Amino acid sequence: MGLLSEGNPLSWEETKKLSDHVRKHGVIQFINLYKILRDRQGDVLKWGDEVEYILVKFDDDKKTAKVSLRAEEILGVLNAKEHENPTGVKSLWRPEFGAYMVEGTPGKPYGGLLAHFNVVEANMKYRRQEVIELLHPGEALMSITNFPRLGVLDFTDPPTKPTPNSGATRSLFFPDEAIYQGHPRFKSLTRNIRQRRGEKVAVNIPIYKDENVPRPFKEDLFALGDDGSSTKAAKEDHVYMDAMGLGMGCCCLQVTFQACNIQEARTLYDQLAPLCPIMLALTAASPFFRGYVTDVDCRWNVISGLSDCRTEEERGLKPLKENKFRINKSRYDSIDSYLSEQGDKYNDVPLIYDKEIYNQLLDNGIDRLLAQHVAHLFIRDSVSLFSEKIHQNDLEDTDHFENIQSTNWQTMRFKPPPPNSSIGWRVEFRPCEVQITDFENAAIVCFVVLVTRVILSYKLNLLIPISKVDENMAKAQKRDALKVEKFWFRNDITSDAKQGDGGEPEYTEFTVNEVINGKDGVFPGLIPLVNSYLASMDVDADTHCTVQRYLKLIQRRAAGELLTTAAWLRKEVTTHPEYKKDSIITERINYDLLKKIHNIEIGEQSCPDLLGPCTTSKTTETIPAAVAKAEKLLTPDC
Amino acid sequence: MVSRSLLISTGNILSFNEVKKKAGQNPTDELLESLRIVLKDSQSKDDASTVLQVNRKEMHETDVDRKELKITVKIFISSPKADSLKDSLEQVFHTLHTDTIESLIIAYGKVEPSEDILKSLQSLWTVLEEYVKAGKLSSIGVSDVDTDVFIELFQWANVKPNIVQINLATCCVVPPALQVFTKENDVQLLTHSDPCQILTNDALDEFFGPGVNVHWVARYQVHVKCRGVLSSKGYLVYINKPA
Repeated sequence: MGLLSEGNPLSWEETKKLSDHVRKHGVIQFINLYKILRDRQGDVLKWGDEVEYILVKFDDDKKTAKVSLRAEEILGVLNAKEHENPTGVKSLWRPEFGAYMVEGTPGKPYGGLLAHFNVVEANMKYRRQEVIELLHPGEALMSITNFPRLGVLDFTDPPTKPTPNSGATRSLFFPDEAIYQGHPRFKSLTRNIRQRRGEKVAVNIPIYKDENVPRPFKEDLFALGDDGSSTKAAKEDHVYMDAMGLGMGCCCLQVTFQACNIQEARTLYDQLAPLCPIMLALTAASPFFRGYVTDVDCRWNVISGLSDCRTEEERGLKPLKENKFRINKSRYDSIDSYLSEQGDKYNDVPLIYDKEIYNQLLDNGIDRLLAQHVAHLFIRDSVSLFSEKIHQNDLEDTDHFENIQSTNWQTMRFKPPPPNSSIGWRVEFRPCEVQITDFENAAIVCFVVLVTRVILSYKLNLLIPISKVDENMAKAQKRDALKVEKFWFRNDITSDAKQGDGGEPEYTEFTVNEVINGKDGVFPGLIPLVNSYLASMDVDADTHCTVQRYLKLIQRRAAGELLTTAAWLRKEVTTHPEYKKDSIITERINYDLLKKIHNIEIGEQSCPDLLGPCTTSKTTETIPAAVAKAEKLLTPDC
Repeated sequence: MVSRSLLISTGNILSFNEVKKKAGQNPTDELLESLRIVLKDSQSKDDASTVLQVNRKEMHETDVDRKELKITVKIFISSPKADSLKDSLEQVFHTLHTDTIESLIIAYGKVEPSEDILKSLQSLWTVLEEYVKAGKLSSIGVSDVDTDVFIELFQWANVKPNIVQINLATCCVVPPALQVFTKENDVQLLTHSDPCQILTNDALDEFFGPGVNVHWVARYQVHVKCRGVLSSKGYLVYINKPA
């Protein structure tokens, strides 16, 4: 998440009244932006990662671990540093949904040299250290996708209580105090999404049916203060959740990169879309929700369901009366359409979009594919509006456009340049789950960026019908998907020759291993392509070693030689001496697990099952002087 | 035996689907695969031609301005003769329609005692120095040279090498003395994965029968600066074959 607009949030009733106003001006703002920036050319590669972290408080006497609600305090110090020296800091810190979360990014984007891959991990380490210095005794900064006992009674430090009958969330499990209080946006989103929907959000995730899980598995929600609505929404044999915070309170790992122009941005947006489910399965890291072992490995559908502001009409449960559209997905979900010419024919899902907005965009010279994309984003209402931001200058401001754009939380994001900046067209890759160590997170983001370079250099084509990408998204989240599931993937990604005319399908089923490592004589594999690419580039020795270790990690994870984070977490819980085969993560199991994770991330304990024998790289804080010097002679602004 | 010279130019191999499909293969296999494609495409040509090149996509199809490109060339050569190196450079300039090359590496492949290697490298280096002085080359360097030899070459040279390439295919151990020296002298320590001999005489039996002699191989890689994009890659192979 970028810098947040400050101000006073409007109530849902006020926001609702202004939703057409926001849409109307948001579209005009996009049109104005597009007119100025559509021909922008020649931007270099700049890119950056975003890592989200959870603050954990250990009590070594009581053997407990809670989330520590001190993010606001810690961010205060970090942001003061940035305020004093905005261009000099090596990292930037932003709030996230949870009062126990922080998000860190590099102070400046990385550049387009291969040597920049070697500074990513050093920057992640720097960030971690920077926060560690601000922690109290017993606190730890952890890059984990979900806190295993999030939403279980007494999961916060200081202790808080959920308020099912009042406040923004009204959850049986998640107290409003666990929402970040330093900025009104998060509580306002929570309240507005609940009110817009007309009821509390609800998600049911299948429980992992270990031997001693009661059949059927059913919780007594009345005991937690339910008025009957939750009991109605909860399904048997599922872990029921009812709070936006139980979804948005998870962490993820994102990468944003700048394209050289709008066409390249559209190409990369499309080409990376089929990789979203593959990378989700590969980075799967969240098998536990609300203190239970579940039958899924990923956060995606949990957040999706818990951010779902659609009314019953929009969800197709009632005939349309108040609302305009039947909408088949939450505003947090996978993308629904490709944007490039090449992708056009793979748009096989009927796209819901606002016809008036679509026509308005067409009338202003925006092509059909981009127009339908924007008109699709704009089927949503604003769910967070500030009184100071209602009236804007549509020639200069883009807040209304960003208001809708930034609350469409999709697998990919197509980002126009901010007005009056040196930034170009960008694409954000959003599916990955965050990993325990900086080494792993650096490996993943470097791999994704390398794949974008390979796609552009070899002019690869990874496209498959977008409906198949959605099928893959569903499979990717299942327990042990990496080993068990097969995913639709394009057979021939290297040639631009027409396929499918002779009757053979363009895509078949592949395992994640085959996509990443290749299938003999059939499919080259992404890692071999990356290696071919690297062999054709100028790579300094340290960067070479680092990148090879990253690729090795990904190669082994994909091949199943190393466990995914989710598989490892499951193993740790189900082999814990206190585990009773009941899929319950007790206070003690939670404590021991998080202690171990913490020891692994600070390097005090090795974890060959997860990381293999080699967990160090040659990462450094700066690129080699000789490389910098040589490049400077060639291009001063690289 | 009567023999004649032949220059084979692969053109941009990034457009060869056969090569992309076998991603990850070593540079020798990649080169042989490319030659197979080129020679098959040009079979119908007159056997007496002295230049063979593919008419598939050529490199200057790109709409990127030359100023935005960085051309990296590596010359694999087994003779210390200045003329042979000059010849290879001229062919590369000609093929790429350019007057300048940003980075040039010599891989000298003849097995000799190190004093001889130094002498051979010096005779080749003199050629590169001329090209640098003429503004035709920017960065120049050598590949797979013992640390001592490299340091001697560096100290002897008028135009200092600013790149040294080492093969780190199998391990990440850089000779410590080389690491220190390159750091102190602003030399880029780069890696490669090329075998000592990228193309042996015998490897060409498959195409021409026995008796072929490889004079030099040049590989060019064209990068779009600051974007990490490889826009073109190809080989020039200059051989002598029985007529």
